[in-house]
Amino acid sequence: MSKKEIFIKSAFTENAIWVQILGICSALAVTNQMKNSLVMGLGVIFTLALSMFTISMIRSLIPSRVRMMAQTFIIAFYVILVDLFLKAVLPDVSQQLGPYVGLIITNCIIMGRAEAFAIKNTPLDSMIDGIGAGVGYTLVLLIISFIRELFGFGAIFGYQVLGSWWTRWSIMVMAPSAFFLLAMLIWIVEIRKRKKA
Amino acid sequence: MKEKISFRDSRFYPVFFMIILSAILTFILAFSYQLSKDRVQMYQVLSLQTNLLDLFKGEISELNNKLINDYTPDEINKLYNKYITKRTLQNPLGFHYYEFIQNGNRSGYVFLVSAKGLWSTIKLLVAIDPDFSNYLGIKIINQGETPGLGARITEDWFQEQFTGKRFHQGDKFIKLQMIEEGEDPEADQVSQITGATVSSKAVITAIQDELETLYKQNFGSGKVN
Repeated sequence: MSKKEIFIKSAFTENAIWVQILGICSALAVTNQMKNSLVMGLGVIFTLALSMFTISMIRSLIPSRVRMMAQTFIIAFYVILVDLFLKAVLPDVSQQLGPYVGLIITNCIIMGRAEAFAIKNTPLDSMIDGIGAGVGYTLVLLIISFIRELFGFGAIFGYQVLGSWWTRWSIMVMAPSAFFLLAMLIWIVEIRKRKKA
Repeated sequence: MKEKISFRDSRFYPVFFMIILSAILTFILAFSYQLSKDRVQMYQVLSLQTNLLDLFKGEISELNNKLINDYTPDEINKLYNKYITKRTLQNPLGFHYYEFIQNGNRSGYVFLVSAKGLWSTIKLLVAIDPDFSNYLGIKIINQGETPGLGARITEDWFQEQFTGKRFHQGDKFIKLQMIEEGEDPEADQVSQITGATVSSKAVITAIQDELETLYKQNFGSGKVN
């Protein structure tokens, strides 16, 4: 498989959210504003890229019985580094994200890619696969948060685009709306897939 | 006959591996923490000083309509030392509060109060005039509420609406009422955030109930220093 194929497969054909239904918790939690979704997405891409690279580098050394422990450890290591970096260099962003950075550790996409790909492929391929999965995840987050922020706040990326005549849909601001939107997104993707087949 | 197994296949290898991995990763983390510690702490002190000064921005002549965020850390530190005095309460012992002093006159107190929100403990600074009758302003400094819902307590309009509201008059403590977002608040009323009653209520609890306790224990009749 070429590098490009790995990326496309990981980001779209086998998209973590709409095909594998992974990482749903964070997709529900942060998608009511596009800015939060984007920063969360970037954090996940960064963590995925580096932890997949590292896990793949030492994959021949990791004993299979404790491999999940080792993977979690490496993932947590990078997330704490991100957290420290934000606190020391971008304190405002760190303040805004609050506990979400730490929650990247529990994102099951990362563990999923480690188990499914990084543990048996070369470091560079694993890194590309990680970035692909992260991009796919970020894409879904942005699609859903675009709809939620537009209807819930009348805004896009914090900029008010709909005037005061717009009645805000409170349901869009709350977590349940992400359930409906996510389900509709999966539905649309499935329909297109079946038409093609 | 017993076959000799290599170290890689022995049951000690996983233990050995995890110990080495932990040692390496923990060392790097500890090292990065040491590197960033001073900066993180400097930002925390700076952020507290900025927030304290911002509560009195109308009274600081040096600011003349410039935003406090436009100042360098040194300038903020200088302004802080000029206007703000840190003091300590007797009850609870060691509790810090701040006084804003201009030309020898005290124009307000600032207390750090907190209350339980939906997910997190919300911490905020509340500034009050020297008579403890009206709020001068509030500043949320720490919260972990739902982004887009409870976290909107950090929006300017929500915080600014408390400025000038009554805290206490005579021997009566005012209870602020919450009204729906978008309606016009009257005296002793504040707008809550739609879909975030608990977070909005927590802010009010912090500035009313906790401040009331602090006031009664330290500043009530005859206790004012």
